[in-house]
Amino acid sequence: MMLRVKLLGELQADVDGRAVQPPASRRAWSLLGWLALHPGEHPRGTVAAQFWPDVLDASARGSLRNAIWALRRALGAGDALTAGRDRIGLQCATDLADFEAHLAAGRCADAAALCRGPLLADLDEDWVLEARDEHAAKVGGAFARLAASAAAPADAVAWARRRVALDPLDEEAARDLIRRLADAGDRAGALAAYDRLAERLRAALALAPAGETRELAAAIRVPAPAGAVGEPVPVARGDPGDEPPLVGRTHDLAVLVELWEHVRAGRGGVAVLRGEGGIGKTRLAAELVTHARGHGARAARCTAVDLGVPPPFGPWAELLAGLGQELDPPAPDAGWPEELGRLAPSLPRRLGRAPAAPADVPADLARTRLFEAAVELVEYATADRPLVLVFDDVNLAGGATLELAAYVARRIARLPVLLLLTRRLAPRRDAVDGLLAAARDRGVAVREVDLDPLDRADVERLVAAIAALDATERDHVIALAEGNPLLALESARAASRGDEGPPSSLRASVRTAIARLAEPARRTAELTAVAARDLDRAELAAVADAKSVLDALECGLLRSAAGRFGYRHALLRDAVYADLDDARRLHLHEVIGLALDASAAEAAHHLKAAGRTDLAAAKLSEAAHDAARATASDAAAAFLRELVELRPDDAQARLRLAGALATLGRREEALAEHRAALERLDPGEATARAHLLAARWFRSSLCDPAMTIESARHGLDALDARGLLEPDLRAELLLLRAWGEVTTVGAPLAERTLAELEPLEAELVDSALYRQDRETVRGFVLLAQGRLAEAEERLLESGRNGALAGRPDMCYGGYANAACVAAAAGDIERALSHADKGRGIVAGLPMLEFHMAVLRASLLARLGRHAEARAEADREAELAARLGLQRLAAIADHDGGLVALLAGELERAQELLGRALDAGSPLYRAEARLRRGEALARLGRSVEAESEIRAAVLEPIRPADRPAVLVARMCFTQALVAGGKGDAELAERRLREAQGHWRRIAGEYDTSREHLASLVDLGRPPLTGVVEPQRELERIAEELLDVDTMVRT
Amino acid sequence: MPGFDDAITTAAPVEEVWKLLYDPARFPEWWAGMGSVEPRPEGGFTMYPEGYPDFPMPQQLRTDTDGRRVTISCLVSDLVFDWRLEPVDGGTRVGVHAELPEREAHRLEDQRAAVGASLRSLAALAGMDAPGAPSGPHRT
Repeated sequence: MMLRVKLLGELQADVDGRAVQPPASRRAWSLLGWLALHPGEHPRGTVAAQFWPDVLDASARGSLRNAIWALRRALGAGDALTAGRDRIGLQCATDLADFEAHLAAGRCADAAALCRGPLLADLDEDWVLEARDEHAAKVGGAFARLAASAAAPADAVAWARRRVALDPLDEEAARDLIRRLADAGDRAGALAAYDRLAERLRAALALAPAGETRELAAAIRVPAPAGAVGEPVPVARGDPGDEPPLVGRTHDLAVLVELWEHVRAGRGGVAVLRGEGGIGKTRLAAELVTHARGHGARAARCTAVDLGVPPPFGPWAELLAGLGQELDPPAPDAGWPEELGRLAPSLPRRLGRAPAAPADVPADLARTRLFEAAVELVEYATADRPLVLVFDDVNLAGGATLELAAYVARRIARLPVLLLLTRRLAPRRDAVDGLLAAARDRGVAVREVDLDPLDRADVERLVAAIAALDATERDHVIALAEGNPLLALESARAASRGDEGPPSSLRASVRTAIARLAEPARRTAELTAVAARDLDRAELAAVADAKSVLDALECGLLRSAAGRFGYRHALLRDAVYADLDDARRLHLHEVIGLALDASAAEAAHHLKAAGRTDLAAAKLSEAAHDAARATASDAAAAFLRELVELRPDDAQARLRLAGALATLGRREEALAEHRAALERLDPGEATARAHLLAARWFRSSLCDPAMTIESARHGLDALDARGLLEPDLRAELLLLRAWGEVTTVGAPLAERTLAELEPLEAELVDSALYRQDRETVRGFVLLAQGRLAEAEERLLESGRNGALAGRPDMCYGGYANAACVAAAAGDIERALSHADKGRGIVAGLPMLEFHMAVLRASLLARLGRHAEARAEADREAELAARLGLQRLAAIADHDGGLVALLAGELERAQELLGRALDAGSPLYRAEARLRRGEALARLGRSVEAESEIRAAVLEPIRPADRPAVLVARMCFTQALVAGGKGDAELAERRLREAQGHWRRIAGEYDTSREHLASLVDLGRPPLTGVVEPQRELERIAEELLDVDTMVRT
Repeated sequence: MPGFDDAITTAAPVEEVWKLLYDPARFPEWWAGMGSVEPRPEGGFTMYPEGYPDFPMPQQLRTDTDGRRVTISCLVSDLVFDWRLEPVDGGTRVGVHAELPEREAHRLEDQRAAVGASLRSLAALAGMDAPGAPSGPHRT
């Protein structure tokens, strides 16, 4: 049974051609309209709140149930109305969907034929009025296009009249009608139309017609010059709608529509439109969005702008702000609105949340949490309908923006999401290519559309739709455009304005258009060019008055749509900017820099361009703070670099820069800035704090225990030199020194340092963070002393304090370390229990989840629980893919290979280890090759095994690779190869060699130090780097038995 | 900085030479003038030259590679020995580059002779460890 609902005009419905009688309940009939207008399923709560907003939720849901019942009776048997426990929806065909499809395909006449009247003409709820206005705008656009393409002037007039009838106060529509009448030779009719408009505006709004309209009327009143009788009046026609007509892109649009159908079916897609500036990328994207919205999709868009160091995630902030307007508030337990407040501070408020301070966790963890929040938003936004996200000009986007886009792209394979990117051909952006590759790898459909220049016929159609030019002018315009639609449009507009001959270039055309403006309007146009992006109402109001804005629109280069004011194309904006003289440019940058407050980075850019270094420095400092908050350390470093250039003697700025560089692992640059800061700091506390910062970096991102000791010592010396106690500062310096000492020098020295803490503790501010750090260091000291049980308890306490401090990373670290110590003590089950304490804490932090999976895979493998170990290794791989980090993917493969080797899954082991090695990651490569060689040898593939042994020799070796262990493993693998070749004598010789090496290693082996090194070496996953000589000797003994058997037989 | 280069080609596979270079306990078997070697608690080894039992020389190993050839840098006190292993048809080319501090320049010729002898011993020992070589005693 087929339900068809007519929304255009009065609401009507039929089932298989049989008219549906409206039920007695008006709300039930209205509900039918709402459901037909909003395809897909919707939460009952949302629908109930829409229709019964002023009653309690339970009561509203009850009323909704009654309405559904009434509607079901009216529709009769059938499954069009789906009403589950939580969600309701309607499956039907609508004339509105047909209208949108015709429009998207450029069949404006077919679309217009469907319009029986205003949308849902017999309903008057608020939601209807909003939808009606939106639809009327589209109908108006269709009528405008039909008028523009009409063959006969009379037909053009008829369409223009229908457009005016939609909204008699639409001044642009009225101007179009006036022009059409004039074009048709009906000057009297044109002037009468003008008079009617003036009267309507006066009566309804107490307004006079705009300057453009008055000038149009004046031009029509002036008699045509001699010799031109009967010729069309060459007046500017303006835009036929919000967008110029789309011509010559049928095939490209079809590619996008096909992808869109794939998305509508519930699978993700990414499309990238490539082409030169002005070729029509944005226009084509807008057409696809219109099409998608016609199918009920949500959509949001953003544009990257060229601002030197771009604000990190700047386009995402725009995108989120737009998308937030289309979303209902999510459930209270959803944490993503607050998290995304890092990028778009207005988003939590839009969704009914208070802005939250970002959690104090390391930048890499904060970033993955932020990225996960973006994925959750996309999941939420697609729960009831498809979603289109448009990223314009990604060639200008910063790394952070593309990184997040790629992260989302990797997760949409099973979501109805279309990411639509536009990019120019140059400059090349590897990050965009990386995004596409990542999406493909994860099963997301990708389409790349190259937009070529239009052919002559298409350009001719475009020009004809814009301006009535004579044949000479038209040919000149077409030749000048060289297939570029923007050039064609601007040339046509310039020609129709009556400029002296067609312009020689886009810049010349723009210059002429701007020159026509009076000073206030010109200044507004130029300010908008300097702003380098569209301005919203508040921003515009801060720099220009309403009249100058309206007058500026008359130059034809600008447009006002969806609450934003800007140039119709970036190339037009660039051309205006390029024409500014230096003095005026500086002045306008200062005006814009002082007026815009959406982004400190943006304001800093303008103020710096204005030469106002004093003001720019303050904004750069703010921008760096914002960037760090948004987890964009690289952008923070870039802003701080600019700040230091402006204020070279600002020691605190240099310290901040050093910190940002240290976070990025740029050691030498960080240290250079740190030294420069120290030269500018007063001795005493300030110097001690600077050394404290360095010691922290050396303990974390720069990972250098010896330098941690040195920095902490310098800090303590600075305090002692001035006789300062500063207990909290001193205590942290002592802990840092003790940490460095226990990891490099040994426990006794660290123990003495810890003893210095005791008299201080009475003076300290009690904090869970301090206790967490203290217990960690104490645990390490106990571990180094071989007091494993006590160490384990301290590390558990560290984990508990990490939880109290609200630091999931520290909490996880404590429990993971305790697990490693329990494993060192030989109690793997207890180790697993400790590891599991951290499982809930790491949820939602993929990086920590990954490390947890590494730990669990190792423990489970040692317990012989191979299936579970494999599941954890698979989880590692999934998380690595989610994070898009090749380094982690290689670790996942490496761990999966080792787990498989232990489980006797030799083929899988060699395959995964081979993949890990092929990825080129800095694993324990030589050891990985030897392990793979072992798998190959056991598979009887001796030649390949020997190749891996040879390749292991050619790998770089660091002390952390423990060469003695490598030599022992190499002998063992050589023994397996020899055995595989039937050379029992050589096999036994190699096994004896291996046995000798492992015995010596066992004699020198310090369990505590080995495990401590494993905990401290941040590049080594817990436990996987730990060797167990006794287990190795047992394996050798088993092989020797086999060899003995081989010899005997 | 005074220094010299030397090289030899051995029929031993590169991995057998590599194992010897990464097994400081066996250095005295082939490194002329090397009395004994002891592991250090914090990692690495200490070498005791023959005739100087109370004169420990800390030693560090580091390997760099270009994928075809591996260089094992051995810092013995302030003497640098770069052992270069390159698989060639039928065996391994073993090269060595030694650098001495200026104040040790007078020992250049002695070192050249010692390193040359060491190189030959290393090649021979690796050959003995290779597959097909007669089984013999191994210090492990």
